Amino acid sequence: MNNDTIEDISVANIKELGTPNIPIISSNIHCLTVIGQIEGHLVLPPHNKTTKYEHVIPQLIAIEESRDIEGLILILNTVGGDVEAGLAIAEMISTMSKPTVSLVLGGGHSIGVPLSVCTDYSFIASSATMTIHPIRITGIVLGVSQTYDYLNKMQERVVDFIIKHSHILKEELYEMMTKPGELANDVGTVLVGQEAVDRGLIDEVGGLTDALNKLKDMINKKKGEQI
Amino acid sequence: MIIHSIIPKDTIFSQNDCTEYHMKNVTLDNGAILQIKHNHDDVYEIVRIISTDPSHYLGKLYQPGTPIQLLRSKSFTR
Repeated sequence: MNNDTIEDISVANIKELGTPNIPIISSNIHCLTVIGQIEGHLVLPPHNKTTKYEHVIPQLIAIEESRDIEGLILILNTVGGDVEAGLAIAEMISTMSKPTVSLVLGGGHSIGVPLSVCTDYSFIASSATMTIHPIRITGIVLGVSQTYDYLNKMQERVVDFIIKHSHILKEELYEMMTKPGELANDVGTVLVGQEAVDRGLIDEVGGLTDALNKLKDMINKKKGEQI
Repeated sequence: MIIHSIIPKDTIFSQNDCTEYHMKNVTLDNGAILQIKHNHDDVYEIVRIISTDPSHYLGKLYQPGTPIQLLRSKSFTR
């Protein structure tokens, strides 16, 4: 995607457009939507719909720094993507001081799982799914034991993050990750709505109102503590 | 780089490249990023808006499909 954004073209002066249509309502809650592939170090071919970490990370810093923004709701409908970028965004959100709530809609697969659990509280829609399966490498693979050690190490990073930020047990997570028979061309487990909650991965089944109410409660609680 | 996704790698990296997908990003004063694709001449079409502020999505000006004209001058008009 071309990001060399029209530097020779002055686009800054949006005021010249006359913008009476822009609503003046200001929300103390900001919403980050993670959709499609999470794009990291490699620009994906343009037919992929992506969430780019260079867009997301500055937004997270702006939310953390803003005086007006009091909470963040993270909406997920992602098929996974770059491990490093996914973990980077998840780490950023998990270390924010402002209350955060996630809502998994549609799907929160693969590297979307750490993103689903990185917030203070997590929701999943009853129809949403989460696929838990191992990471893999393609291309030239050296047939040495170090290759497997490396893969294992990369897998541990993801697993450690998930167990640190959810109530699932490590053994149970590994068991689900290597379960045969559930996915057509892969090992792993698909969790639908309530199943993710039963396993301790997600806190609650819910929708938009539940997520917003929870976030507002957390914001009010935080305000109460500050007084 | 490790891609951890339910989409097969062959699908992600397939070469069905189409110029229609090529988009530019324009950052607005209010912090929102507009993703625009070229239509004709200096006219672009808004594909999507990237922002965490929910109110940005309500502005009629930024709705996907809206044509905008980029002028190589000081102004940026619709």
